[in-house]
This record gives sequence, C-alpha cells and structure tokens, in this order.
Amino acid sequence: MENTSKSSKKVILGVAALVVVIAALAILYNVFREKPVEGSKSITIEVVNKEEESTNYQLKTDAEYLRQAMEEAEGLTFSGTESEYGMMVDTVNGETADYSVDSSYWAFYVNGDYCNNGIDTQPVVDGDAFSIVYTAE
Amino acid sequence: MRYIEMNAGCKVHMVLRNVACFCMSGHADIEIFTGFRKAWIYMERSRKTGEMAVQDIALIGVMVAVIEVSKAALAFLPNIELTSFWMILFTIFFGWRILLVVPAFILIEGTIYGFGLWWVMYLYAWPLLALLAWLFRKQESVWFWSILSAAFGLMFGFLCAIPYVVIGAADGGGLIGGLTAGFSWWVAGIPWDITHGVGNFVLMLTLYRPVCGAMRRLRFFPRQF
Repeated sequence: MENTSKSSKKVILGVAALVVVIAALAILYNVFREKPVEGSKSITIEVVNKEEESTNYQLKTDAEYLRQAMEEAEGLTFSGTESEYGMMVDTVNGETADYSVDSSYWAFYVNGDYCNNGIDTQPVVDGDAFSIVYTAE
Repeated sequence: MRYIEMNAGCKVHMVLRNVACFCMSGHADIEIFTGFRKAWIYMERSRKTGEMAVQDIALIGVMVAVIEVSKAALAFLPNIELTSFWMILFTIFFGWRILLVVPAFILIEGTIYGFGLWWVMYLYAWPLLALLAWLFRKQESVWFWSILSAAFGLMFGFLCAIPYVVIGAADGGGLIGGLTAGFSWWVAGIPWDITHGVGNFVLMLTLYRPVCGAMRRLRFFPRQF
C-alpha cells in the first residue's frame, strides 16, 4: 500500500516536472524568439500599363525574390501561369498581355536593365527599382 | 567456417520448417509460437558462444524495418513519431541488438534523405536514447517510460543545436558566437519540441502496455537480458 502511494507520488512528480519544463520552454520561446520586424529593404515597383500610365508602389520588405515583394505591394495584383521556371506573368492590375494575340507581354526591369530572371528567381536588393512595363512588339 | 555455415543452415531449415508447419496447420498460434520459441533458444545459445545467429540478423532487419515503416507512416504529422517508442522498446526487449539497429537506422535515414547536418545530430541523439533505455531497462512503469520519452522529445531540439554551436564558433564567432547561434536555432524550434514531447508521451502511454503485452505473450522473450 505504501509502495503504491510512493509510486503514485513519483508519477505525479514526474508529470509535474514535464509540465514545468513545457511551461519553461514556452516562456523561453516567447521571450527569445525572433520577432517579426519591418522589412529591411526599401524598394519601388513601377507598373506602366498599355496606355503608358504609371503606378508606383513603395515598400519595405524582407522578400528574397521579386514575386514575394510583388505579393506584399499593397494594391498591386498580378497573375499568370506557373511553369518550371516560376510564374510567367500575363496579367498585372487586371490588364492582360497576350503574346499570341498581339505580341504583347509584360517586361520586367530592375534599375533600368531588363531582368534576366523570372519573378521567382529575381533577387531583391535594398534600393532596387523594378519596372513592369506593358510591351507590344 | 564450415561449422558456421552448417549451423546457420540448420537454423534456417528449422525456421522454414516451422513456417511450413504454421502454414499447413490450423493451429497457427501454437505452431508459430513453438517455432519462434525454438528459434529463440537457438539464438540465445549462439549468443552465449559469442556468435551472431541468422535469426539475430533477421530480427535486427525486422526491427529496422518496423522503425522505418512507422516513421514513414507518421511522416505527415510533423514531429509525431514512433521511432523513440520503438528504440526504447527494442532496447528493453532485445538488448545488445540495438547496437546494430541504431547504426543501420541512421545509415538508412541518410541514404533516403541525404547526409545533411541533421544526420550528424542523429549520430548521437538516437544512441543516447538507446543508452538511457538500457540504463533504465529494469523499469516497468508505463509512466516512467512515458516521461522519459516525453523528456527526450522536449530536449530533441536542444540536443540537435550542438552542431550549430560548433559551426557558429568555427565561423569566427568564437564560443559566444557559437552559443548564440545554437541558442537561436534551438529557440526557433521550441514549439516543435513541445509537439514532439507531448506526442512521445501520449504514444508511449497508449502503446507501451499493449505492445509489451504482445511481446510477453510470446513467452520466449525475457523482459531483459
């Protein structure tokens, strides 16, 4: 009987110790985890539509690649088809460029130079100025 | 050499004969238990002479397979795993054979998922659990094993942070830089460690008795040796 009581006490102590460890870990996590901070890179994205009207988006972001930065830009919408090279953008702010119809497409520029990467692989560097321009050949 | 081959041959023959008995007989339980018992006796005799029996090799293979299959089956649940459960149970029931099960398991994991930094963590984390299970092998309390298994899950991230301490220190940060790197890495994964610990606790609490009961029903298995 005494042994059972001792054993129960040990079990309770063990489970209590586990609960204490879990609580301590939770506190540790809440105190020391990396908190989200405002994006550390300042970039601009300019969209030039078919009528050559320009819309500018300024944002602070931690995005590594352009696609994520575009997703974070408030008011900027885009869509396209996914391919093995990432998204091929065909619609920006509701305006679609269809190469098969009128040889038009959305051209991407970074700091004035034509982007050599798709939006999924175009790196974002602090101070970058991106342009997305409706282009018809 | 010849003796070993003959000996191994006899044992294989015996196992096959018993399997055949099992297949042909309507008394499956009795036959398979008898077969296993005899195989086990041979295995234990071989162990006493320092020789590894064919059955040992088969048993080790089955243990590794059970761990791998269980791990794959629960892969869709992050940090819920049966590897800890089986490591503990196999150490308790099959003793020294775990010394071969653990390296085989680690090697297979590396072969499947690649030999990355996480693999280095496996090199000491799982052997540590097997060592703990062996040290406390006389314990029979389901609560004890549930708490031990939970503690291992809770501390898994802490154990795995060690390589990051070494890398951080080697990268020019010195000991402080290494400790900071390891600490940050550990803290970031704490929610998953808690999931791991709670999962281990519940699984051990739920499965320990039925699995131990099943092992004991095959009476040839001693509790420990």
